[in-house]
Amino acid sequence: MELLVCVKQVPDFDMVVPGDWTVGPDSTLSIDYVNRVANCFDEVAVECALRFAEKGGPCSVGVFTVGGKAADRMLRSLIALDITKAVRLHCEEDLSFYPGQVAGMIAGYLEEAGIPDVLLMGSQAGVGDNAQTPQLVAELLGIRCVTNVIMMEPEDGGWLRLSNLVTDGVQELRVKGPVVLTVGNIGGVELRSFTLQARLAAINRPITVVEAGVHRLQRHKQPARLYNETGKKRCLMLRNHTPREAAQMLLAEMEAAGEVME
Amino acid sequence: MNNKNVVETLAGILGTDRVVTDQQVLNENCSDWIGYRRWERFHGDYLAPKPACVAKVESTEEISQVFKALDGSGINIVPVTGKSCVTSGIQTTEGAVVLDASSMSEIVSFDTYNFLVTVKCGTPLEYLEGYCNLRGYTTGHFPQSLPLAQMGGLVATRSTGQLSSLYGGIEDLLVGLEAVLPSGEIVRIKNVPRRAAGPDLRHIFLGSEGTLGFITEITIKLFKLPADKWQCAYGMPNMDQGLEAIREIVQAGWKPCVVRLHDEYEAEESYSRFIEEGESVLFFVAYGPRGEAQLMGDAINEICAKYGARTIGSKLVDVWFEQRNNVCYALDRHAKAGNIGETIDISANWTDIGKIYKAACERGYKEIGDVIQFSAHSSHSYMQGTNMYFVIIFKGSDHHEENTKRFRQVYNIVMEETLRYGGSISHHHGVGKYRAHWMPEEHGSAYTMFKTLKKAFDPNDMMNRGTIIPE
Repeated sequence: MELLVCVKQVPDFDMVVPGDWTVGPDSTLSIDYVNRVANCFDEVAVECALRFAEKGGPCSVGVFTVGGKAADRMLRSLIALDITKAVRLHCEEDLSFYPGQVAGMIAGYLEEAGIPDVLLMGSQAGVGDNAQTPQLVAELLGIRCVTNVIMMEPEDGGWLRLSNLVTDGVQELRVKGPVVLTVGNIGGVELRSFTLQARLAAINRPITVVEAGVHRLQRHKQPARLYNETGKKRCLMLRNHTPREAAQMLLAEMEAAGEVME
Repeated sequence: MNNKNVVETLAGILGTDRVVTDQQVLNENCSDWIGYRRWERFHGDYLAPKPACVAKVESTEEISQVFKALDGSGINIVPVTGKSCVTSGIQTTEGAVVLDASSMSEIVSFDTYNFLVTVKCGTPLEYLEGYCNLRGYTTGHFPQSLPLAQMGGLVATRSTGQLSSLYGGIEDLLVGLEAVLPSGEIVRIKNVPRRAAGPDLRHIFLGSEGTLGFITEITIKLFKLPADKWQCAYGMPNMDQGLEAIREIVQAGWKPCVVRLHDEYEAEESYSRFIEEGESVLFFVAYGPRGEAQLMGDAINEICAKYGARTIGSKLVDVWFEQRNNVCYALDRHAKAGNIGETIDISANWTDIGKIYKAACERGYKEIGDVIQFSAHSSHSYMQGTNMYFVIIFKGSDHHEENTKRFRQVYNIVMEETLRYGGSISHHHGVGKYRAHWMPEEHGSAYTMFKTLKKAFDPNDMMNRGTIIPE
């Protein structure tokens, strides 16, 4: 079974110096100095794929990204985790707010290279937070998409047993590939770390770089404006009350200020 | 005295509501932040021996009464304030009493004429520093534990801060103190700028880690907030060149407040967008009266250039300032990913520090099978030498015994290489219980003086047994 995980590279916003959270006249932030890291939900997806592969049966796990050369650093760190294949669709443009375009590029590549049995993606990524790319990829490829997967296990005959979150609870499914799966934050699932030995061994393993092909989807939205939202704070001192009394007083205060939604 | 007796005795002095025997509280107070215990707690296990109770004291007199009641009873007392210890210094023994003075938080006096501030031992350093800043002053003390640490523990562990290259360690900042001896006697060392009236008694308590008494009140120096600041980061070809640059700078008499050299691994991990491949990162911050900081900066630029420095600029330093106390979050993230992390600080003279770094890293790569990180940085420099702060992360297993064994293996590497080259096993984390068995080798013929001090001040071995002097 072939698993491919799409990983988006995002800025590590924890590194941004507070004074740099200032929007320039061209609606950009000046944060070039910030490390680029794998989107956290995509990391969870990689870990899910690795655990799935460990559960038995012939299985390969590859990673895929859309980005510039700077993304190779992220791919190198993933290769050190027993990843059999790493592919970068070369694109220096920042497509954070263009999920349709990204989905088109991914679908275009996979139609040429071969659609894997399972295409795993984080449900959304910081910067953009579109939460659309996986579903658009599935639509373009004409394959199933299961969102918010929290458990996946192999079964005989190429089947997958899945649990996913739905509005009313947890759903159990059996599906067969090809399929797109999205994952979010799954408790107890953190991407494992690579050892120094693994990192050294992976240094010379290749990253396949492919030029981005035709963009299948042309429609996209243009971001209108980026601005700092000023967070006003106020403090209500509540002393010498029981927790219940304090909560009720706080609620009354917020209702009076029109801060409680229906 | 059994657990029941000790709880009753303490309740008689402090009241029952301040003598806590709740199991979860005992679990949370049985050990500190040392790497393998952090791992255990993260996985819901509390494997250190459990105390009999946590007794919360609110005054010097209460501590004195407790000591008078328990001295000679065979009970082990573990004094705590901020609980930011990382060397098992406050790990309890079975049936010990944790004497918690964290609520003794008060700024007793703030004297801007003599530049002194006096606080009770449970005063959080972060709160004190904020208080000083609002008034245009600083303590000059910025340990990485700043968000947690309280003043009593900082003195007891001989702590140092990130700006120590200008302000010094706690031993340079401490002016006077009050403490309770194990006998219950309350002693006070007065606040004077300097004296030659016998050996400096402050040093009996500085670094005593709760083994010779309970520090209850502290007076430290105040400094004016600096008028001028300069900062710059450089990419260095390697650690050796970086260390040589630092040596020349400090030996020339320059005192930048921050001097940090991170090896290639740490530079890549934290500052990948700033550096070129293979570079170490060296950066400085200089404080001073108007004009002095820039003058220092010019001199540092000139010296660094001689050692192959590539100027990166000041943004990297801004990033460091924002993230400098985030190590706990990083170690928690590693714990979530199944890894055990530890930081081990040592010091040595200039002739030896580079050798220790190389030897320890080499052994780490070879001997620790699943090592994820074995890196280091220098962060406190002197004319005679510097420290080396190792950051070590390796894959944990489901078996605590296996983790404990591997943790010991990792620790041994750093301790052995440090002692082999004549360095010190602890620059500022203290000894605790974990490093205690290296103390005879660390001190050689002087080790006997610790035992003499202990016998003199705590003949019944009531205070934090097993710390500094191994059991």
